[in-house]
Amino acid sequence: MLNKHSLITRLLFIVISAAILFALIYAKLHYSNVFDKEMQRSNNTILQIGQTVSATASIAAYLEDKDLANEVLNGLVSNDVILAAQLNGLKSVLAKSILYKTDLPVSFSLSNPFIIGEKIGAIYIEPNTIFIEQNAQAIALSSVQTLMVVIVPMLLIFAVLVYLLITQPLNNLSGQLSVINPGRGQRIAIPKTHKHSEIGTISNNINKLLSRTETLFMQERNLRQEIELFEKRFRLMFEKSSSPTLLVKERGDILLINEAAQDLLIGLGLDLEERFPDALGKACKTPDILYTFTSNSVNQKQVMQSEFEFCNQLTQETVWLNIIIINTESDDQWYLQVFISDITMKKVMISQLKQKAQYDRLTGLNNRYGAELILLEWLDQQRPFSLILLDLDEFKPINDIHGHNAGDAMLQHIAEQLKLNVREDDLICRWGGDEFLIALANISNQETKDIATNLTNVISTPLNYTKADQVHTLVVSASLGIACHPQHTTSLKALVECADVAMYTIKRTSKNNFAFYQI
Amino acid sequence: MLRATLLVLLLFCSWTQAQQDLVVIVNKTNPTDTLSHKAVVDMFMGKYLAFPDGSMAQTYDYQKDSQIRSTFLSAITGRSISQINAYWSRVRFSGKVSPPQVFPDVMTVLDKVAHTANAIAYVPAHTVTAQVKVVYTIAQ
Repeated sequence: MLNKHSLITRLLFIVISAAILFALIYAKLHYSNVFDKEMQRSNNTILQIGQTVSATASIAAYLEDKDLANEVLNGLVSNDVILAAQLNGLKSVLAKSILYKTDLPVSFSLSNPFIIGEKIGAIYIEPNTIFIEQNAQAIALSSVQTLMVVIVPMLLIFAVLVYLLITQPLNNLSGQLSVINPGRGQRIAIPKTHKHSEIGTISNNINKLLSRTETLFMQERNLRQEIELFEKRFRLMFEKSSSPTLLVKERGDILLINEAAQDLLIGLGLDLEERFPDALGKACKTPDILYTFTSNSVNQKQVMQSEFEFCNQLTQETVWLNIIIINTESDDQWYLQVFISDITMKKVMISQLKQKAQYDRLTGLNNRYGAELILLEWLDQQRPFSLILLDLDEFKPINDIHGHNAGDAMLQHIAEQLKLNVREDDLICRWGGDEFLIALANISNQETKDIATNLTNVISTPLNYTKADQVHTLVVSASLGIACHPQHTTSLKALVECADVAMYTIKRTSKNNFAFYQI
Repeated sequence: MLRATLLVLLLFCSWTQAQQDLVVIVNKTNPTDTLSHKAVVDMFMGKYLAFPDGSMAQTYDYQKDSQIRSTFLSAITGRSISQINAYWSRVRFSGKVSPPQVFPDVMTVLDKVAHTANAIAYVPAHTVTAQVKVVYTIAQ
């Protein structure tokens, strides 16, 4: 309670100091006042004593009687107020006390007792200043003591009152405050006696503050709950999203990575600790493009999207990932949102569709659409090539006599023979029903002739076809028309037409032969 | 009535006469012819017991309660006789100074002065004889 900095200690210290100071000043003033009065009184006393002894002293001076003078002097110095004295006759010193010094302050002249007006000597007296001072001090001290007798009990009463009226209620208030937790509805209990005092006002204000604080707390809490809910939802959206997503700092530090992204990267055998795009670069088949793609996105602050081929580090399978990078700015800091999606399945499906669209199911050769795509590319590249249009002679009777299966077997057999008898890079295509198209790139006319001759030979070789345990010998031949690019024409359609024209010249004549288009 | 008035006047005159008549006398052989008032006071109050020429003086006085003593001492000091008596009481106590020798009447004193060379005393003026010399007269 009574620590060095408590109010009551300070107050008491100040009041006691002030009382002591006041007492000291009072003592000092009172002392000098009392001293003056005492001095005055002593001087009066000395005067009176002087008057009293003056008759005898006059006689002593008159008779110059040293004994009588000494007697007078002894009588004088036996007074407390007189320190020293001297009795002088007209010509000589008649008596003086031990402590006598010259120039004593108080003097009386002595006159002749019988001849009035005749000076015959003097008494010199030194007042006992020390005695008077002591006297004055004693009186002043006594006054201060009296003062203290009044002040000290008042101080004590004051201290007790201050303690009871201020310190104790404040301590009580502080004790109550120390156990209050805002938000629990606790309030300060106001003592009955302090309902209208400053303590009561403070308590009331604290209670009001508590109320306001609690209201704010409630608002804050509700707001926080809302924010937490939102955050939870957002986190759920991000964490549980099936779309792999990363949040990356501009310099590549990965800040957030959701479960889907973790699964994807771990599945690819990649290290999650690394930065973006370095983490992906290792498995990427075109890492340079990936890095350029990323830095372009960062530099241009644009949404970028691209597909990259990766090699799964664990299974060595090819994986296609679609990567979208979005630059976002938040609090003056740029972030990259990276959305990754595994498009391997889509890629496979597309390639399967492509296969279906461009190849013939029966023979496995390019179909007409597939061949056209390749040839258009060749034309684009201005690649010189010879185009052979091959039409089977006498094919329809095989279908009619032996059935479609026999026809199909014949077509598959011819496709095999074609593959075996052209160069590896040459294009073989089933152009339509029993029509084939062969494109020979970078080839001389002679070589074309050789291949065409060879093809007519192998096609006309009979095929043994087993049907219901009966072996049938199937024979077809082929009419070939050849058009050359770029000698004959430069468009695909025109080339095919030229080859067709050449082919028909054979078809109409000898069959089982070939012919170059003639301009 | 007249006689009574005359009697009172007579008595008054005789009193004043007596007052005026006090003189200080010495032996006629004494070289001193006159004394100052101060010297008279000093000699009769015991301060100096010597004549101005330095010779010792013998002072004579009357009984304490005598009229002439009161008149004389009061006349020369200006003090009441009781004050003078108190003075002597005090002085005698200290023992240094002795009061004058006392005689019962004027005749005895005159005789004593006539026969003592260094004597000094006071008497009424009309009693002065040839054997003594007046050195001081109390001026009224």
